[in-house]
Amino acid sequence: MASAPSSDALSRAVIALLADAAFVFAEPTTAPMPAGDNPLVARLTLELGERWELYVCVQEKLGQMLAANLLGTESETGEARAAASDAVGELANILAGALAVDLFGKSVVCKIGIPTVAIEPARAVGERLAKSACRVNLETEEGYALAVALIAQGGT
Amino acid sequence: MSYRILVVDDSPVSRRMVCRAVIMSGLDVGEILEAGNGQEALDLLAKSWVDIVLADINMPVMNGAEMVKEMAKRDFMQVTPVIIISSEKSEKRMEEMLGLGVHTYLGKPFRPEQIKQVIGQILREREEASRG
Repeated sequence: MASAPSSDALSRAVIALLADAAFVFAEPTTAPMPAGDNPLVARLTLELGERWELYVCVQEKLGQMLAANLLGTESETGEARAAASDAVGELANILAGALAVDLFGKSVVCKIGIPTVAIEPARAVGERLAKSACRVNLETEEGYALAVALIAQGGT
Repeated sequence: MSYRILVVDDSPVSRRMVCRAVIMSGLDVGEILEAGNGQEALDLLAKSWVDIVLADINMPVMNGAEMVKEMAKRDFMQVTPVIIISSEKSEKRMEEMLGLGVHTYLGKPFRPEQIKQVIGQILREREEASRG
């Protein structure tokens, strides 16, 4: 079975992607996702004989900021609010492409699923994240929280 | 002469980013059409002439690889250059797509200059071929 990247490697990949793709600058933090704020969660699977779930959780306001940056608009516009889920899904999709190479190498084709995005209860998200050995909590320079985890789901 | 471009991606945000890059390129683009998957793209291509297709791979209903294979079966579509813009970075996937006849494979996240460069190259190739 492929081994998950270290949390440090995951952290570096997410930080680089946020800066490169969405002009969002973030740093690792030990603080968990805020408990009173139900986050936007994107999930998608990576499969190649074994199955992994990529789990990307962001505060809703950060979702709006990601959408605004990707679309070239302002965070508080209706357009950014409407596109927040899709922006988080797209971010997860791009991150999955980078992680697939880390997990399985460049010489094979890994099946990357279509992202699904929903607002999930903060408590359930916290419990899900706690189960993953490969996870990272980040805080953006605007003070928004996000967490990313890669969770092994066994063979397919 | 202005050109017609088709952007194929299931993510509206991603389509919008590609459209912005095409508009920012300064190339003489007359119209940008959008499709949410390969089947929608084929339906559009059957009805309208398109000069260049920019497509994702990973889409529901019909993915980008299936779309390219279907285009190759239709005489009037097989000459349309396809640029793949995908998050998949596997060398094998790139080789597979180029082997299907894809003109260029760009990874996500892409830079607007890359889109400008590739579209410019395709248009130059087309003009040279029409003169030649």
